[in-house]
Amino acid sequence: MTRYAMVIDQRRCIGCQSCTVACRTWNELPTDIIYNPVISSGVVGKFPNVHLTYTPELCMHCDNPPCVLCCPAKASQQDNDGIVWVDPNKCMGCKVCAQSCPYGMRSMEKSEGYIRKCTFCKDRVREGEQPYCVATCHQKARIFGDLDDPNSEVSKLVAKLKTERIHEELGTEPQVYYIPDLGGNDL
Amino acid sequence: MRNPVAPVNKMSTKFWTWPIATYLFLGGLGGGTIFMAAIYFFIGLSYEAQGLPIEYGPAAPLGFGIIVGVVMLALGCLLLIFELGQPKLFTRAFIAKTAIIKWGAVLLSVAMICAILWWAVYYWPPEWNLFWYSWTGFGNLMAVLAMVASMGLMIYTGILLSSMKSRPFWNTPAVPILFTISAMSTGCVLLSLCLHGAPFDWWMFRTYQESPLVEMMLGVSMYDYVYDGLHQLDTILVIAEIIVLLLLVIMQYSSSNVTAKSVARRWLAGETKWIFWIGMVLIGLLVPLFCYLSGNEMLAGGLAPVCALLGGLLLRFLFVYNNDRRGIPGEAKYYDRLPDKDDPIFNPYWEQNGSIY
Ligand code: SF4
Ligand code: SF4
Repeated sequence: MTRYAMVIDQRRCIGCQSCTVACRTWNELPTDIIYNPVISSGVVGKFPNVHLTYTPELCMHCDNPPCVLCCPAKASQQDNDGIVWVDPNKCMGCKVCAQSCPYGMRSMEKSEGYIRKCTFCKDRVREGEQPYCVATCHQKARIFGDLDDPNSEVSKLVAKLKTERIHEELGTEPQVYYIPDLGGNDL
Repeated sequence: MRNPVAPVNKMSTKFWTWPIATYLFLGGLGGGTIFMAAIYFFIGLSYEAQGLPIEYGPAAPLGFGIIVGVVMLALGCLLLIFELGQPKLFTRAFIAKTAIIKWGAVLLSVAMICAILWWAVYYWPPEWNLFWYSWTGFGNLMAVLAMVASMGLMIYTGILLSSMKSRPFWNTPAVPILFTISAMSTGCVLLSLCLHGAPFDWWMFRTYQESPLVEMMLGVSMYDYVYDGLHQLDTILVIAEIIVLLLLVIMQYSSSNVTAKSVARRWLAGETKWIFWIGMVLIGLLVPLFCYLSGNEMLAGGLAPVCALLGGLLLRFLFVYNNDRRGIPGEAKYYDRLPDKDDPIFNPYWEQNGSIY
């Protein structure tokens, strides 16, 4: 079995937003939709030792995705490799899934009428390529791979380092693991 | 203070807007009306067992209310479909059994169809003299189904919101309780208005006749019997609604969740405080309560219903428009900095693949 997941190394992210732009280009997104924003929080510390944290986001391709459970049309679906995606020909645009995603990773362009979201670039990864945001990241802050393969880079990172997941307490089992920039382990 | 939690992207802040708020209101209202009508219908049946023919008893004046309830549900359906991104795919609402909204669609359909059949058996105008008039067993079955489905509908509108873990202010069991009480209360009000407003001889129970038996058995006319009963029940429901609403908001205000707390603060003392205190609490709840308690027929029959219906609608709007998502540190800042979709400088160039320089 395959279980795609992403590790995001916040120690490496410099907040350049290249992944955001790359994603917009590859997926030809409408003006007002962003699949993978890079948000920043802070500043912490005291001058001159100050620090800003960058958090690249994307759909967490949750193992227990509330967005799939609540879709009445079976348009929101999860494949065996864990990828959560929406079939635009089945989505009636009720937006329940967008309301139910705790990460705000779904959006709709009014003129299109269906929900759009990150697909982990499923067409690329099933051909053996990396998602476009991962391929673009010059800092190697985004690492993608198969969590079921113990030799993959993501498996090794998740096994070896203390990683965090966003809103883990909700039981959605998000599959994007963050290596925190502060208080994280050394590689 | 800025809203600490930004939605998925700034330019489509609200996924759900007025059609969904109104749909939730109409779904509850129609459900409540049919439910209350079914209760009085069964009270009428029980009086029949005691010797008061059903066409003279409390079941008689409900016909118009049932139809109005169905019309409310139908309007709600239309709004829901209107709000869809791809309305032509609306039949897909029935596909996945894990989805709460599918159950809403099923309940809505069952309530409408069964209520119409129930009405057709018992309340169809007598001049038309159709063959199914004698199918009372079937009519009773439809009444039971309509009652169950409409009860489900009242609860479902609250469950739909409270099931969302992503929205901490909605994600509490108090929400379905509040929505159910409110639906039942608005249902009482609408049904009592329909008793008033019915074009009587046509919408009345088909074989209705004046009979001295009614006053003997019920003490009042069957019309007053239902009307007074609904008002008494609504008095209790309004009191319960005040208690649950205040408990919910105060509980959320003292919640450890920052998002839930910020919405509660917005209601109690922030941007929406006037809508909440004056619109919802005073006009929507306290005024109807005062009208009922005053015993003044004009107030209880005229002002109270208008205020109570307004309050019910406002409640749905307040909830739907306060859909704050659980925050992730830094999101609000990010989305606040994005240009508006109709930004006069940014957008024209973007659309034309031009350059902003
Ligand atoms: S992050 Fe949101 S859209 Fe993605 S799988 Fe989880 S719930 Fe669904
Ligand atoms: S908007 Fe589309 S994908 Fe989302 S729940 Fe509705 S039908 Fe499913």
